[in-house]
Amino acid sequence: MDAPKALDINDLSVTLGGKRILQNITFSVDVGDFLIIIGPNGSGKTTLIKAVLGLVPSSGKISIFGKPANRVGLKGMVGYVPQKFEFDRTFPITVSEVLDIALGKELREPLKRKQRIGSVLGQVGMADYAHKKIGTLSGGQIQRVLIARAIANQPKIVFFDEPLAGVDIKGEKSFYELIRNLKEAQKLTVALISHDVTVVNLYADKVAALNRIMVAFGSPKDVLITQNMEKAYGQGFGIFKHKECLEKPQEELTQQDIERCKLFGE
Amino acid sequence: MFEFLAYPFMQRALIAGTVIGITCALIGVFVILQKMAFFANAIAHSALAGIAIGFFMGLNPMVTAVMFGIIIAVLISYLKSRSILSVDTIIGIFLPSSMALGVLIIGLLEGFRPDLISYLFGNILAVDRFYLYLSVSLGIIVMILLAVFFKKYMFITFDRELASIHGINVAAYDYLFIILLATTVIIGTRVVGIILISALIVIPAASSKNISSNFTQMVVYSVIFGFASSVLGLMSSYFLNLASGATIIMVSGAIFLITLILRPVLAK
Ligand SMILES: Nc1ncnc2c1ncn2[C@@H]1O[C@H](COP(=O)(O)OP(=O)(O)O)[C@@H](O)[C@H]1O
Ligand SMILES: [Mg+2]
Repeated sequence: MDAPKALDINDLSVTLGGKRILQNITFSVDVGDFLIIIGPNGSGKTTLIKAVLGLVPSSGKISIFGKPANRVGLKGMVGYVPQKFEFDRTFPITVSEVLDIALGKELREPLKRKQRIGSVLGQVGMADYAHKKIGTLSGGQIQRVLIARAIANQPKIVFFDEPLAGVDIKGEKSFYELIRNLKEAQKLTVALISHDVTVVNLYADKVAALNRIMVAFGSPKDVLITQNMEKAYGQGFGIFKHKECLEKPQEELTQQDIERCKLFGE
Repeated sequence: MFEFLAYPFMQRALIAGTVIGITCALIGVFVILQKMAFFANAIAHSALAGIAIGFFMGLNPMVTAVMFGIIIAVLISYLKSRSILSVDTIIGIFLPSSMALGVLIIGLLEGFRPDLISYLFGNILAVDRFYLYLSVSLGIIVMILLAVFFKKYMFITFDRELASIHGINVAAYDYLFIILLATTVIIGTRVVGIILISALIVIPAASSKNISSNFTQMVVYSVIFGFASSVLGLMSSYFLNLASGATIIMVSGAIFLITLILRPVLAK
């Protein structure tokens, strides 16, 4: 038998409040792959990730590293940064405590836990904020903390739901570099929702274009073609007329090209 | 000035009072962060029916009250997860209904009737040995369970979605929590009464939140405030000859005011 897939989704459907949100989604991702999920607003991207994580009920089969993806099965293997992290800003809890509660039991010694927390905070440029109350941070800083929390357990797969909202360009760049490093060093599998075609071209091994159904799935070159994009985003979706988005070598892209390559502004 | 410690009734009151003060303050941290103060209040009001049932059936009223309180708490939580009604609406139905039930059953009792005022406002100076053992053992069980599952409850309180992804059975821990809360609230009604018990849960934790810059501090200060309120409250009750439930709550209210004033200095 083949080695298990990192993520294997078979005929997944989700119905919420009597409304069919996702229908017959089937795809799989290899260990170490960088999957980017694209699709217009309301196309079910967030719902897909939530279904995989067991946060919304679904039908079909989902397995992660060969194990059925129920809560217990996921223990310690999964990192997650939600699209909207809602919490009480008056909650008296520090950044370091936020990371500590999510850190698994394998790391027993307090000193080791502290080191791990310091190291992941360093990786997202938040080392100086360990003892700040999380409620006092800016939106972008909170996102960085959540990214650090998602990788703190050294998970095998991480789900990022538009994790860079409010994060500045510099933070964005170092985020993708960080993910690339983790991918190489730890064979981390990544599933990320993004609207940024440049990012898709630069980093994705696999792309899933969603619009309630799976519009297309495959390598970026196969998926990012006009017919698929029109199926996902609707007629008159002109972005892929900018061929340079797909065909120009990355280093030749001008800032203007990059702007035009964004599917829609953040 | 410590001759009052020689009286057995005062010893019982101090032991039961401090155990309950500390337990309430500890669980109160999670209650206020999960915005469950009104829920705690509803459980407290169910104590009247629970006590009346005990008298009616000839059982120990404190024991039936704890059991009845747990049933009401579980029922409210279950309905909350199953109904389109908001939790404050559901509580708004259960709180007066259970109170009315209590008044009805008391009306049915023949002969000896419980002293309503002492249940409504507490009377810890009159507690018997059985209550002492019951409250101390239940209080200690609650504290041990909260300590054992401390990080899990902290995780669930801060981010229940991620807690569930990390394999924590959030629904089961929620039910355990409300059982612990109901137990604490009901045994606490004997100390400060049905009307005032939610204050003993909410005020120390709220005072602590005013001045805490991390979660550990919030827990430690809350417990200290709960302990101090019980001890100082009981002592003032003894020396000033005032109702003990009221003095305990007044002391904790005074601590709250002080933390409010100190907040700009202490909370970073
Ligand atoms: N709990 C829910 N009940 C009913 N409809 C929902 C629920 N959650 C999401 N939806 C609907 O599902 C659709 C997809 O939402 P979502 O997955 O958030 O889209 P995306 O992340 O692609 O923008 C939206 O139309 C949204 O209104
Ligand atoms: Mg979304």
